[in-house]
Amino acid sequence: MDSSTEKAAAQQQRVDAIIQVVTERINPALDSSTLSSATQLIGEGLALDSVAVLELVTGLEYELDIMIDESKLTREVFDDIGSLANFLGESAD
Amino acid sequence: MITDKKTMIVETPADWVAIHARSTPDQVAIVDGESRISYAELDKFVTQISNNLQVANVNVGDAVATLLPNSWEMVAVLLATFRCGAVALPMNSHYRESEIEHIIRSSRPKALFASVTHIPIVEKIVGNVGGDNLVRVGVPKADAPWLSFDDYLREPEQIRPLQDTDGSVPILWLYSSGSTGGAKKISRSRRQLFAESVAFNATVATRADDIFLCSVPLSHAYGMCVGLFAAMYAGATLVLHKQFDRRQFLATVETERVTIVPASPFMMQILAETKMAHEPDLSSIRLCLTGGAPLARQTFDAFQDRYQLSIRQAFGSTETGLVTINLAKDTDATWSSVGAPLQGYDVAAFDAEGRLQPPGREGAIGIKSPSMFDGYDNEELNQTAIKGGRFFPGDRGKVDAEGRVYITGRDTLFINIAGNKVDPAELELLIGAHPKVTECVVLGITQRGTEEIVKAVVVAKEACEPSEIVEFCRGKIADYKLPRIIEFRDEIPRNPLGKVLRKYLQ
Repeated sequence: MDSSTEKAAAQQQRVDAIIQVVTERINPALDSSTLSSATQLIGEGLALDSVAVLELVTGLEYELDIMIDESKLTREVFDDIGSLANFLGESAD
Repeated sequence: MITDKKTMIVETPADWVAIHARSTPDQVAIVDGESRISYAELDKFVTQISNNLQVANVNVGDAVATLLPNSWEMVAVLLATFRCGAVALPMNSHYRESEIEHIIRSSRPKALFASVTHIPIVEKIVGNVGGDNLVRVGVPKADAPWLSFDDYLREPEQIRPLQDTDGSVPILWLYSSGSTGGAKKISRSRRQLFAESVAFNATVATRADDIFLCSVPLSHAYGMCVGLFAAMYAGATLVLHKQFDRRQFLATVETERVTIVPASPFMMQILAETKMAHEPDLSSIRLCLTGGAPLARQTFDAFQDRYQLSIRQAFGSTETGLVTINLAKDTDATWSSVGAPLQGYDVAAFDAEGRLQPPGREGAIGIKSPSMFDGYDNEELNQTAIKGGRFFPGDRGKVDAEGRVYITGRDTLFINIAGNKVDPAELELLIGAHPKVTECVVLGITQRGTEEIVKAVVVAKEACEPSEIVEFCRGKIADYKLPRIIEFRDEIPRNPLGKVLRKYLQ
């Protein structure tokens, strides 16, 4: 596997993890097949509030065994699932 | 010190601060960020603010509102309000404009202390409700016509003597979600708050070397009693966080050697799963309390596994203050109980005919205590909620043979979001005003054991996206009330009498 394929696979894994946390912990009524990288997290789309964002961040830490620095979590990070996955990837690098 | 007509001592938290300022002046009363304020300093601030309030013609029975986050300034204003015999009206600093306006309109405070970020909202509301005479104080500083908080920390040139009051005068107004007509005003007297603090501190055996950590809002009954009042009564230290920040919370427990933590089940679940660079030492905690929402076994276990600490549940309401607390020795066997009533309190379950239920049998929970309120302004509400001198908060539960109380459900439709009550009627009214909506029913659905989230079932006139509904609501209500699930249906299921069949909307 070349590096771009590896990167794409890693990004997809992070997207899948976010979708898993969203559907298992935050909104069980959501059908995971309707969610993708392009699904917006706050504002339109899933409209997560601050409580849900905290649940999402903590859930991701727990599921992925990582530490997320909340001081770096700007609103843009939560534009959509893809941007959050990017952030997680950059944080891990 | 103030005594009532029967010459019983009925002190306020401001009196306790004065007492500790004399006996332990250097003891730290409040930790707020970098500020460490001793009892002597706090007492001085309280006197200065109280004197300035009196000069501003704030009298016994007048309300002094705050729109401040947890902070030493908020504590000083609350205590000063008590000292001058006025009524404290703390508003949650996360309230939206319409909520603040409802409270100001119905309570007509004489003075208001607000963070500078709230000044534009307050000015707009003052314009709407005609409150030009309202004394407005910006924290920390503001431009005219606002006064700055510093102005209130100066001794006025003339001081009016304190007015006489007795234990029956109201000294606290809090607002609680209501099923009709917006939030309900709940008034509690000096004697009632005194009784609650005496009972809580006697039951928990608080000490001057206790360190309380409070990130739950002091503007709510729980944080106010288990945080502020309990600490001031004991002459202990109260560490304040403006909001819940999980890593700051864990780090503070370790560095300040915190002993008592009033929290919510949601916070405990988050703390149990929060990754830290090094495992925090929480061994100083002797009481880790949750209230406001049911505790899930999963949260109890996760916290126990991670920190070797048993979460203890408490139960209460804005109308009664704290009523029960679980201090049973066998924490594992009794984990789901909210505990026994505080000393001198009575909690029992009743059937639909008002008959006392035997131990272990479920019924409507009824509370009798010296610290509960006298009733709402609304007689209709009183008839439903107060029977035979007991307050029925709308919870179902049972009391076991040892007197331990278990809450098993609710009779009311309120939704509990991480400890915050959400009134479905308020949301139904708001969503129903959307031009594309014909009808709406709002309910709470449970996930992960006990957590609730808001679901709105909507019948639309035309094509409508969930985001249109959420964006319509945003800014008009606190964010935690925003519906997380929006389901569109052709019609709302009803029984032949027209009653909504909520069970088919889950």
